[in-house]
Amino acid sequence: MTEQKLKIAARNVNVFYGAKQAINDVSIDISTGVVTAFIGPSGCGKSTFLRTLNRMNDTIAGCRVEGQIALDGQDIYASGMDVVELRARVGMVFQKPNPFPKSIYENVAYGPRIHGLAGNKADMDAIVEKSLRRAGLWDEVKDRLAESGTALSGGQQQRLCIARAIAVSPEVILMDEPCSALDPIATARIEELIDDLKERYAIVIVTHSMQQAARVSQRTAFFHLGTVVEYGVTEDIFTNPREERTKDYITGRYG
Amino acid sequence: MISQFVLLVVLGLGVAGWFAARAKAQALYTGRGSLAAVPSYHGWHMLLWIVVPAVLVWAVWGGISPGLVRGAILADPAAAQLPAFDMERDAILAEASQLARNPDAAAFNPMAQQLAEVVRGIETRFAMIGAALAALTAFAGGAFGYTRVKAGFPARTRVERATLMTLLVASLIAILTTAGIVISLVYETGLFFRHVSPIDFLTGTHWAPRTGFDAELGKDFGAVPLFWGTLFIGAVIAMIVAIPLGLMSAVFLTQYASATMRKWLKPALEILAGIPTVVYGYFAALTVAPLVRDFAAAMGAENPSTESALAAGVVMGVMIIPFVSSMADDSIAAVPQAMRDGSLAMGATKSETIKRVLLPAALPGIVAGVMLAVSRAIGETMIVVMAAGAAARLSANPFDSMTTVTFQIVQLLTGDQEFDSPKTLSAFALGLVLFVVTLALNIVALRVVKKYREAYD
Amino acid sequence: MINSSWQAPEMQRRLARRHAAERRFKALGLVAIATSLLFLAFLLFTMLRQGLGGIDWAFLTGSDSTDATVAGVWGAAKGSILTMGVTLALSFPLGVLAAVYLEEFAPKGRRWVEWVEVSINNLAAVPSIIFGLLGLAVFINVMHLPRSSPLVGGMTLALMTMPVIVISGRNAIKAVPPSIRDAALAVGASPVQAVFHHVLPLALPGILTGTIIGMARALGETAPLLMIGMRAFVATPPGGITDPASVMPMQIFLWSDEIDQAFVQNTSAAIIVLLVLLMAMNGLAIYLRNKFETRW
Repeated sequence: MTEQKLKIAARNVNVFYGAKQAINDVSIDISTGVVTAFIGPSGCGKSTFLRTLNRMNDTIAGCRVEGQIALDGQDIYASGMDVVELRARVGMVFQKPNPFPKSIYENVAYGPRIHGLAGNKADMDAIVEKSLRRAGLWDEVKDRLAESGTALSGGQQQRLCIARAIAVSPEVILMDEPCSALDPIATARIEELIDDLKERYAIVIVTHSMQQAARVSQRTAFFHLGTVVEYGVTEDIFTNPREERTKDYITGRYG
Repeated sequence: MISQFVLLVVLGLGVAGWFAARAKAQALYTGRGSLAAVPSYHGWHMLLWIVVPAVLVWAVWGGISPGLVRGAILADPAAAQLPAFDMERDAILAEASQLARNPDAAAFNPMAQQLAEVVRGIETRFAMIGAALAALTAFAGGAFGYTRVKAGFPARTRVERATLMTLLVASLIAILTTAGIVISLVYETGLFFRHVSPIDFLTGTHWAPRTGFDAELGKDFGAVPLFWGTLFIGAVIAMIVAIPLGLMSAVFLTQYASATMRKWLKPALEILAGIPTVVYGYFAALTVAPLVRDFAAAMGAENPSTESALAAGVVMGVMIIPFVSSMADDSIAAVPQAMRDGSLAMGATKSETIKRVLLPAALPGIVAGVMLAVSRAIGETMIVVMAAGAAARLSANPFDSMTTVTFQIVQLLTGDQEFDSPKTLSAFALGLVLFVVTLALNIVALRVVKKYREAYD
Repeated sequence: MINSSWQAPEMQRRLARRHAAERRFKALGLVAIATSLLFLAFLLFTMLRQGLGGIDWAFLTGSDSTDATVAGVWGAAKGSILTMGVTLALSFPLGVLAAVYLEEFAPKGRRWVEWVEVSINNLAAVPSIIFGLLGLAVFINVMHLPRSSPLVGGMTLALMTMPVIVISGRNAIKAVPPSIRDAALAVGASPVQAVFHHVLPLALPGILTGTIIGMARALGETAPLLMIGMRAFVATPPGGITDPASVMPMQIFLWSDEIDQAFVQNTSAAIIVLLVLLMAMNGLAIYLRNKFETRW
């Protein structure tokens, strides 16, 4: 069992798009060494909530967040919080693989370069190699680092995006349905990877697939209509849900 | 005069035919399915049969009758003492024809005055023949059309076929225009190259166009200074102004401005594109050029000219800003949102995202936009006509007066000149060069844009 | 490995530098757009300052004269109206019909159809002076139509405007959903009827918007008309489309060439009149677009 350490504490979070409330009073803990899964039907707010954790919702006009989200005890919506630093510490992997139209090497080197994490070329090479190894992609691409990242297969692209996120040594990695655009074999590889990564990082994964949540996560939060219906140890949620709605969703009665 | 009358009569006949055929069709109507088309389609079918052949006949007559008129005039005894020399004779005939139409005008040549009466008589006679032919055709067409109004006649299908033919002809106008441009430019350029070798024209550095044909002509028709001036003003100075300002405006509008700001700033910027070029030209000549001259004088230039490449180029650049901006705007907007999110999610600032991800990804589109902008700038006429000057010189000093291809075309073709002097012909050669270059820029740019769009679809 | 390197002073300094760069970049964008708009304001202000005093009833109703105090803009304005009339009468029907054909009836993938499309796209980008050369070579030297006349000017500008109308017309027709066509066809209308009775009326606002924008461009055009000699000194307004005439931008050009300083006011005043007309046309286009914009 890996060491568990509380990383993000979200308390009574409300999110509004203009006048419309998208998230209603959500409180969740996210810890290092643990994979936390957000499940729920489409439009339940799970992706919206995920984006509030590294303030990617800032890019959406008219979006407003209330309540408190603390990273290592520091409120990420406080005025002193630098969103650049926050996003470097809380990385994100998107639903559709989105490598930059640059070489594989440059995709991974992008983050360290803008944050100034590598002193010289050798450092950078080391960071790129380490990140690609951790993302399980090194052996496949080590001979063609100069090729375009967009030329890779979908599964490889997604692992490249994970490597890109890892390269800036984040503390948390948010994954927004990372396998929804992938075939089952690529999905299996990503799931293995998530299992390997959880030792070093706090991982949050939004997923449509309850099987995936059951396979990869240790904690699960079930979102419905903008609220968290149930949050707890994954095994409990799937085998012994406390709430009727959770049971209905898990047994496939809706969603 | 008689033309309008004939057209009116034919149209009137057509309308009458429309009613007649519709009435006949209505009389035939005995209930559902008894006619193959509703009565009004029979009317339209009839109208087409009356109008189209008659107008065609009138048009053909308009094409051949001048020859016939001329023959008839020359055969007239009054024309017997006309000079045998073609050009002189034609001049008198043309004048007589003018006088025939406008009796109040004073005659220049007394012979024309005598002929005017004869010419008027003959022209009227032939016009009457044509009108009669057209009317006859209209009646014949109408009679034929009327007999076709029968129960089983597919009037609608016929009318629709005619409609489709019209549509087809309309869309062929575009090809005709392109062909017209190419043929007229190539033909006149061919005439020009009979006197001046293309090599002299394209590589010579001395430009002093003149009339009169002689063996030395090539030395005075070297267009390189024109090409240089065009590129220096349109592709260098204007772009130095337009690219940074247009690109940064687009970046600000797409990435930084709030929705309200964008709503006001974008149309405001587009006003710049809607101002006529003659206004820019006037502003360049009246306001910008003196400023530039004073600046040059302050910099220590001796006798700076009022007309300068810089004044024309800067104003042209401002004119192009909205164009560059909207092309860049489109290209940046075509980069998937996911790219931007990917970069921001790693902690990149907005400007880092723009500089390192968005602009590189949008580069093909932006380059294509710049090529289109250059093609516009080098084809722009009024600004350079009013502000750049006539001096053909190879200079890299932006304070110098310089001339461009478009300026010279205007210069060579305005004023009344012999149409086939080397001066006027050279204008078409310049036009051909301009056409080929802008066409090439456009084709390449559209290819790049298309490929780039496909890459993100 | 808990990442605390973000607290290191060097890292914090770097962050501050990056944020400063961010602010500089944003300011640069604002400066770019402000520069462009300031230039526009400067231009408009100059014209208003010089020209506003010259606009009175006599100026709006008079024709050109060698005396700056008598010279007016009406002669040129009437030339513009006649020329635009010819342009509209030719380019609108031809443009709309061509757009209908290309969008609805043209056989797909035929070589000649591609040629038509390529021609239209390229004509839209050909420098206007080239159209002037075409007008000079074909309309005047081959067809012997009257030089300097609104007829030739209008025909030349029509060739220039037609591609604009075809392109906007095709977009407007494309925007009408196929379900409308299907509905018409399903009640037994022929394809021609479906298009002329249903699709075209729905596309008309879009086509009109494009037409107005094309006409506004034609109204401001000078270079091609120089080629066909529409720079006559017109002391009396032209009576018909075959009389020698001038147009408003040409009047501006001619006055700007006058040595007499008094013409500066006339030039600027004519520019104001022209700009007001153009803005009215563009405003009308925007109004039409907003009023009839339909989301299907």
